[in-house]
Amino acid sequence: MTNDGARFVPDDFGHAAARLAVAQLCDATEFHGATASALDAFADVAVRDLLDLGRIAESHADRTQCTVFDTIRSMEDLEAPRAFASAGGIREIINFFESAADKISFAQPISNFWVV
Amino acid sequence: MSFVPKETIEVIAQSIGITNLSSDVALSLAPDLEYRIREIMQESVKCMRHSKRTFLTTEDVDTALALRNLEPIYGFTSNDPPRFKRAAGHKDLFYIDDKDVDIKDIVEAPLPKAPLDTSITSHWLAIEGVQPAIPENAPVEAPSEIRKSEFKEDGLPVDVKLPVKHLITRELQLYYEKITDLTLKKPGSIPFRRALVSLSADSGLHPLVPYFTFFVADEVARNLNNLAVLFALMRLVRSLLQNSQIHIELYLHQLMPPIITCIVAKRIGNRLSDEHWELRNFSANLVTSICQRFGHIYHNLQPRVMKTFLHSFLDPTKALPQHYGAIKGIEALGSRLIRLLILPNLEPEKQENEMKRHEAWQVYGALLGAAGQCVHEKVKTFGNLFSPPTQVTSRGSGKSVIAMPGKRKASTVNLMQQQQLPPMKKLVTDGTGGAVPMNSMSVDMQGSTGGYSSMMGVSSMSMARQISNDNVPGRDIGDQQRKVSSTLAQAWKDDIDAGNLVSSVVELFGESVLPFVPNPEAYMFL
Repeated sequence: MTNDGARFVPDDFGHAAARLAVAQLCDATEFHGATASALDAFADVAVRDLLDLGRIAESHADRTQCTVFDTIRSMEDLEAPRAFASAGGIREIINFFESAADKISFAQPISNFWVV
Repeated sequence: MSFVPKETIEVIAQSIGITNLSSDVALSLAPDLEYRIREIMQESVKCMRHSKRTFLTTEDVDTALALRNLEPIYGFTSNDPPRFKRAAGHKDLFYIDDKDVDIKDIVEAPLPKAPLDTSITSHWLAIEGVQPAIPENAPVEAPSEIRKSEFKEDGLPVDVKLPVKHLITRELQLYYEKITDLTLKKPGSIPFRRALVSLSADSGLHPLVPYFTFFVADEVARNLNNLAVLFALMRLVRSLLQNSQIHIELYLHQLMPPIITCIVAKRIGNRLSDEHWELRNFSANLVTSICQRFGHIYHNLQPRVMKTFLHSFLDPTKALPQHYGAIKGIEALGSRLIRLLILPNLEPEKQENEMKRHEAWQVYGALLGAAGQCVHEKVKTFGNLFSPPTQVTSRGSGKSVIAMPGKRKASTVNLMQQQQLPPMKKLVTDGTGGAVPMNSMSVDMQGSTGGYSSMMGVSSMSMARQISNDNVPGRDIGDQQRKVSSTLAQAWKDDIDAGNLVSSVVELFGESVLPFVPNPEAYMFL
């Protein structure tokens, strides 16, 4: 459907969540400030990276849901250097998947989408 | 000449650390830059159009860059557009105001409201043709930017609302054009009949109803000399009325004037041979069906229609076809209105003009039909009174007694009631004790009216007897007497009215009215 010339509004919620996530990453690596454009660019890169990771994992899966092994293969395809730097890299990823909820808590509670 | 000046190239060069760029290089780079920008923008516009949008987004530009195997530009997905500021001391130099933000502030800032998940819901677009004021529907008022505030001479502001466009689909437009074309050009054809069937049965025609009503009103005014088109228009209206899927009552104010015009117009058709009488009858029946269907919704509908007909009927300056239409209109609305409006206003009139003789006969026929219908209804109401007698025994010249078998003797209450019976009734006593047996009653058969009135007495008396025999315990005889007397008075009034009605109609129309009397009841006139 056409929006009859009305301004296209990007996903405010998704962008705000991405900014919050990268701000947490910056805070964890002891950055205390950044320019607005740098933060936006970082959030954009992070979102694109996640989208690519998910898309490739899904293409490897050939199932309705991806497993940890599909994610590892997608990282391999994206040539993520940190994933396989050490001998126990894959084990670390599996452990992270198993206990991700306990290890990292998000700065703000993210509510589910409302269903009318 | 490139729209990118060489200064822009120099500024871009400085921003990436090239300080010694010559003017010639900048001049030659400018057209190439313009070409690349145009190429990317054309691809972006293609992406926008394929997405069925009319507004270009950063996603379209990113897709265009990806199609050219170029790195996307990051950081422009934010809803906040970049703010350009003018450089101090430079008239045409701008820079992006890129503020420093504190990481802690961003981490602690609350997230915006979570959006709705993609889902399908239903809501009422309109209920009975009225748009409900809910968030899903656009506001009924015109938006503020198109509402102009004007001032009258006295200085008071006046809100001028621009008309709202009523959009209908191309298919409905074609349908409307086809129907109107058939109505005007081929009113008697088979496709037109099929079109009428479609109009009377198809759902989804509600958006076209205002257009059809306007079309009918417009064409009736324009084609008063074309009988075929008028008939086609009335048939179109009938089909719309028959369609249960559309709410025609919302447009009755537009539809009634053309229909009534077809009933009481002074002249319809341009030839003497035109059978406009049939059109008037047809339109009168349409008005009746409208009044029957929507009279309870619009309480002033029937009175207004009736007023119009009565005005045409009573006005002596109106032409005979107008009188005919008015009579037919009132007749179609029911026998009660005939009795109230037509019969009290009947006067014999002699028509010398040979040209108008035919019209006068038509009016006479309409009056006869109306009066006959009224008589028929009234006689049917008192049908049990006119059933042929079971035993008739002679009691002298011109008198006969109708024996009513199975009736009981009168009680004391009956005797009390005898004093209230009208003096017209002739009762025969059996000579034993002054009591009147209810199984015998004399009827004067010398005149039809007399016989009618006398027979009506049976109804009143038998009614009195039925009431008197219902002895309800706990009620005194005075209450019963009052109740019986009021019932009798009403019954007797109805009887007298019926008798007067029949006699007056017979006086006016003579034997012509007899065919309207149902067969079992006709013996009373013999």
